[in-house]
Amino acid sequence: MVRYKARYLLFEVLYPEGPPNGTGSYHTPSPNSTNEKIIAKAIRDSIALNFGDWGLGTSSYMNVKFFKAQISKGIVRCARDHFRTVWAALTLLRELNGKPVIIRVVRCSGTILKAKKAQMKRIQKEAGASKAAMAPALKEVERGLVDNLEDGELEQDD
Amino acid sequence: MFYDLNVPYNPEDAELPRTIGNLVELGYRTIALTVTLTGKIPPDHVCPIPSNPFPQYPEVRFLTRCLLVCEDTSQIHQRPTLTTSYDILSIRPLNDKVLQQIVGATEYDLISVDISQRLSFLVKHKAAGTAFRRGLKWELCYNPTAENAESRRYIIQNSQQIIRALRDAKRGGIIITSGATKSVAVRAPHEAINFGVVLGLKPEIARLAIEKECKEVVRMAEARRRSWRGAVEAIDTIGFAESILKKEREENNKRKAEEEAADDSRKKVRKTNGQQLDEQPSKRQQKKANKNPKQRS
Repeated sequence: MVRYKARYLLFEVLYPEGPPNGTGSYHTPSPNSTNEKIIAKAIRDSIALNFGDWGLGTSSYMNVKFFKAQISKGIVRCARDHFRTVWAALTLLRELNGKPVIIRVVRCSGTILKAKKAQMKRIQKEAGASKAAMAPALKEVERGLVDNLEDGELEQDD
Repeated sequence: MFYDLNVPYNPEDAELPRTIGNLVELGYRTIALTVTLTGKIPPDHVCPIPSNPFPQYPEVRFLTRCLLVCEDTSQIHQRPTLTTSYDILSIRPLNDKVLQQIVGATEYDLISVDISQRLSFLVKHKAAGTAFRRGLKWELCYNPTAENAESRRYIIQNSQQIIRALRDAKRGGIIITSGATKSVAVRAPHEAINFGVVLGLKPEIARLAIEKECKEVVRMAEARRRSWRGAVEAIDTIGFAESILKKEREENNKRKAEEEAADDSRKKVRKTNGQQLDEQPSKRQQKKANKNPKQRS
């Protein structure tokens, strides 16, 4: 039996109509109620709308690994053969919780570890950390100490 | 560097600054603002876009683009009036006759078919291929994907038709643009690439469609605008000659300075050589003097 081949898409939700003007306005936190289930439902609806039953069937193994509302980032796992369908569905998604959004896929990876590392890098970069400062946090992700990236570092930065 | 060569321009549109802000945030660095013109254009037509529309983004290059909607073949030959005021010239044929004229004779940079509606003609390989050979690119505009179901269907249908006519666009000939009328209708470059792949392009071609092909369009347009038939370009001769003379003068001075420096060092070397020459025979003599007693013994 061959292993199930997956792709992990790291995505971020941007709110183009968030707080007007000023830097970082696109990277506003999502509402606290936004969880994996809501995101998964939104993606499924988008697939159903744009790709129909066939699209929904072929990419049925899609699941949202996690979504952090605080930083509006998450990872979705899908079949390797159909990751472009899921990606396009994310692209064509226009609304989340009744708010207009732009969803941007930042990283498409074969392992969840790399996706997590990419996410950690991005978080640190947004916080303005240097490369050297990133290293310990990345190592922690590698060791599996930071699960779902619920760490205190971000809160410190805020 | 990513290009978005189609953002409709309307000075009264309050959403435009926001759209531009989103595009810049998402990573586009060259943005073309489009003005749509229909029918006959008066000879005193001026481009309504100011020369630097958004000074708050110094890193972004803004271009002006006109979209000429052509219903009749007599409207095609209006290029001279437009060339002076716009960076990129694009044309939208509404019927097959106009399309045949465009791909065969006139000089435009882009063919922009409204793919969100049913086309009144078929895009055939012959027309598409001729356009490709002349350096004309076809535009695929993904914006209206976010509108209603019918236009979504036509976008997929028509873009696949164009891609097929260009034989999978294996050698390029297609650019992907946003055409965003709303600020939320723009998408990041990699999203556009992926959408191109979903439409039937190869991943590498889809990437070129938002990067290198657009660059080529801009370059070609520039060449057409500033030169005679894209072959001979007038340059500022006096300024050019002066710059050459200045360069020569500088080089001469440099050479002289170098020669002088070299002369000085040569003299020094000679002096040191002279000293060495004086010393060397004495060494030899010493050696000889050393050897001689051995021979004698």
